[in-house]
Amino acid sequence: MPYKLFDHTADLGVEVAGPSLEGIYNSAAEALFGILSDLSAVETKETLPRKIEGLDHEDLLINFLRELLSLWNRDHFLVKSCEVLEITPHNLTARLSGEFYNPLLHRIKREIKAVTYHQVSLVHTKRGWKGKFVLDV
Amino acid sequence: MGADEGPKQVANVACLPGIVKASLAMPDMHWGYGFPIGGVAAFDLEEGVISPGGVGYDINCGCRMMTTRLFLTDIRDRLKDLVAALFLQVPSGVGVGGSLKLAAKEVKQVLTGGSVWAVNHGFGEKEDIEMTEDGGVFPGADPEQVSDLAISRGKDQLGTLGSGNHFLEIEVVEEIFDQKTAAVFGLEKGQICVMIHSGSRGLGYQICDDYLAEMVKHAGDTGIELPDRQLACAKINSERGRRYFSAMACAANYAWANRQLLMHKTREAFQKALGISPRTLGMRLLYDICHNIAKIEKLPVDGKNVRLCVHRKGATRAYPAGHPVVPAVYRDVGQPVLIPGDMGTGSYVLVGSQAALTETFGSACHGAGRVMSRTQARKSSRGRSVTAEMAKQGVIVISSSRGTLQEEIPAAYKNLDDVVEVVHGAGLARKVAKLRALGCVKG
Repeated sequence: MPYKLFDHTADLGVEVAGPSLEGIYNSAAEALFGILSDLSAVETKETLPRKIEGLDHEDLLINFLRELLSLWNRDHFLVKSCEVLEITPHNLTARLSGEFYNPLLHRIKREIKAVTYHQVSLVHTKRGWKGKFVLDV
Repeated sequence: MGADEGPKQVANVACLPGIVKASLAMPDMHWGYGFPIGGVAAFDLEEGVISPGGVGYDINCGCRMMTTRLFLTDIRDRLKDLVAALFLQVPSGVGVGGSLKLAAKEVKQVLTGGSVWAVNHGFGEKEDIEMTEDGGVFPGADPEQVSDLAISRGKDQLGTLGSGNHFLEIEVVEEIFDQKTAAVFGLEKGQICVMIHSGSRGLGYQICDDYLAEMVKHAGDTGIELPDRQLACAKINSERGRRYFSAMACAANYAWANRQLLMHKTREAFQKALGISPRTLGMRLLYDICHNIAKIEKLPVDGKNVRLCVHRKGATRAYPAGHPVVPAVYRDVGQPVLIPGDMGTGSYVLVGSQAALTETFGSACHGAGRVMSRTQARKSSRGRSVTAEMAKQGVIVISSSRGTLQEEIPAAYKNLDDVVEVVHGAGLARKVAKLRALGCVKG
């Protein structure tokens, strides 16, 4: 699994790690939607382009995750994978692949109320990148 | 579980500009976002700030307790049917919408009308309004300050319980500590009551999220140095602060309308399941409190009454006898303070005090905070039937999610008796009655 859950008193903490920043974003997307639904039943039928802005790496990650959650809440779209086309500390351009929710095919496991800034971190280490964020459930 | 950094968060809140006296933590305090859960902080209206993190994502999460004319002997043999009827009648759980589907225009009416909207549309009685904190309508609500996404999330969730730690519980009054106040509140031993714990649903979460993001983005403009991004805030007396306040008011009204509808469905479920009339049931709203909110209140500071913006995040207003906002019928004794336990542990009714007004900006605890993370709770309950265990303790639980039940086991929470003893011992609110859980509907 490209992500791990860590302990938090009331909610769900997520850790992602990988050699590239682009991979981190894909893992974070998979974490959010893997917690929300059963991703094995989701196919990549549609691709949606997205541009995100942020004050810094961590703010950018949180804004990316907020946009993913909005895709679910507003459009009932389930993201299976994310391809990052361009990334700087302040801007991200990506393609999100997945499909619209079908109650006959897709199981929703849990409500995610919000993506929080609590304990968010995104750091570059010798082994690559490590990211951390907490979801309010 | 790693160390809970709640105390550090209390200290961080103390650094915010315009804070009056001290950053406070109630006995059920634990980690939150920016502000701890169980945090109380009041700010000067000119120099102080308003912070979405000091209110919480679930704006006006709160609870209401209803009394009935029924006693345990009246329902003991029908309890299973009653809990099942409530589970069917009251929508709960992930992704479950309500029976009411509203257009955007109607959602906006709920956002300004709150409980009054609900009663005017046939979901309750006029008397319910008086027994709701602030009459169930938060003044200054402006739906134009609420995003289209938030409005959209509110369209089909009115009258739904939600998931997680929200619940609807049938309880019996087990012990009376203060006979005189209990009589004023209409409580007696053996009486059947119902507790509902729910909030502003997706609409409220979205409003908090929208404004937190905006305040984080513009944190640099405020000149306020934040020890934690989640403390992002705006001056109360600023355009952004005023917009958040009026959007928060909208969410508060949505939550009140939500709890009003949930109570209405509860009344109907009881009447249908037991085959009794509304008069025989006599389900009356004892009181409704919010425990995630920021309000402008007149509070005593160094002997003078001052208007402040008090944030209560996982904390309950606890006003004393004689206070003009306490309903007239309760004014001789004080405001009811409802403290729900977690699933199946019952709850307490307390009464507010003068000590709370002078020492904690009129605040008391809101429940028993978590001590175990959700992942730990799941691990601990693996291989166990939580429903069967609760049934052995005399509590019938129905939930649409086994995972939720595992995460909400009683051991995951602080001991409610201990939390209430601290509040009572500190004089913030006085114990009136303890209620035992009989049946619980969880999302």
